[in-house]
Amino acid sequence: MRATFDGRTYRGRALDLRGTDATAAEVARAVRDPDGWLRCRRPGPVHEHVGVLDGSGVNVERALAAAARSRGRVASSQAALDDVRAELDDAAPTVAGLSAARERVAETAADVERLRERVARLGGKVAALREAGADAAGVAGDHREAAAALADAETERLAAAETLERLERAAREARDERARRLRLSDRERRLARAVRAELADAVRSSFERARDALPTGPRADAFAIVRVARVRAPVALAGGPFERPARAAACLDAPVVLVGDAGADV
Amino acid sequence: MSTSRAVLLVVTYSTDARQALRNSCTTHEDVVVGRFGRAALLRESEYAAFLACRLRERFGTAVEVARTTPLNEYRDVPARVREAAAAYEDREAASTPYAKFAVGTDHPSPDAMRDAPLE
Repeated sequence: MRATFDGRTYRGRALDLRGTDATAAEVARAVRDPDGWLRCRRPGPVHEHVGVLDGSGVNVERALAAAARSRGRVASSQAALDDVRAELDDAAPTVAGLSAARERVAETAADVERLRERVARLGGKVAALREAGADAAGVAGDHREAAAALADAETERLAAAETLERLERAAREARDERARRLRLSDRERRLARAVRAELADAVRSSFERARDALPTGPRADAFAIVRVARVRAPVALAGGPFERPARAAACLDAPVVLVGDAGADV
Repeated sequence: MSTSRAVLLVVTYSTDARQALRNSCTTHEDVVVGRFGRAALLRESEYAAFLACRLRERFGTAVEVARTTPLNEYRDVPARVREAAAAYEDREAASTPYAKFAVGTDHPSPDAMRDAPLE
């Protein structure tokens, strides 16, 4: 790899930037930036776990699984997991317009109720006027009009109810499919866990041996994971315990960039 | 109908909606009558409706809300259905399916009950 930092160019498998103000985070960013100041191989999934060795915690199980993958290991349930994920890639079905249909049902029912009352009231009025021998023609006209409006409102209510029923049937189907997807995503989680466990187990003994052979300290797990993994892009190492860059690269069996330990928990 | 005992049944159909329902139930335990994985029963009130409406707003089709009331079989269920249930549960051979059990008795057939709405 090759780095140009503060006007100076560095080359090799182990770069020593401890004399500069470069930080581990900056190095990690540069590793990911194809146009950055650090020219190197592209980082793999292992880098998400141990790309920065600054003493921050590492999820050993997940990191070991990534390390096993970098070594070309494939878990026996990976194919099943891929299948489940492919199925989950399809969007979950949704049904549009349910809320509007419910609103329409409520509105039309209220209209019918209101008009029924109006028809009954006007009907009563017509009867009372006729009984009193008064002219009921005007009110009777209103009554007929209201009755016609009521008939229309009832038709509207029926149509609204049918629309809602149709949408609810569609929603039922969509929810059945969603229930199936929920079971599938539970299965996805179980499979992902099984895959991780199997991959981690595959390199666990190598990891333990590596840890025994490497310097102890809060970064022992991370160091051992780097050593177990196949690491092509450089890892950023803040501070000790390696004096010489070449020794760090040899011990970790990975390209390294050493930076100062400012802020590092070593 | 005793409205004070009515409950809202909220069923979720996505992991997000399920998590949101769980959070709501944990935060508003006083409203919760029962929790069943991705479903919950909320004691009916405006507040329960408010929670249900919020979930519906956020998750749409992934949330189902139903207004339910306890079933009183002496009020809501025809006597012949209730009696058929009692007689069947009292049958001699546990392996007899109901359809067979009902043949030759006054008890309704499963199909007859299936097609009859509950009034």
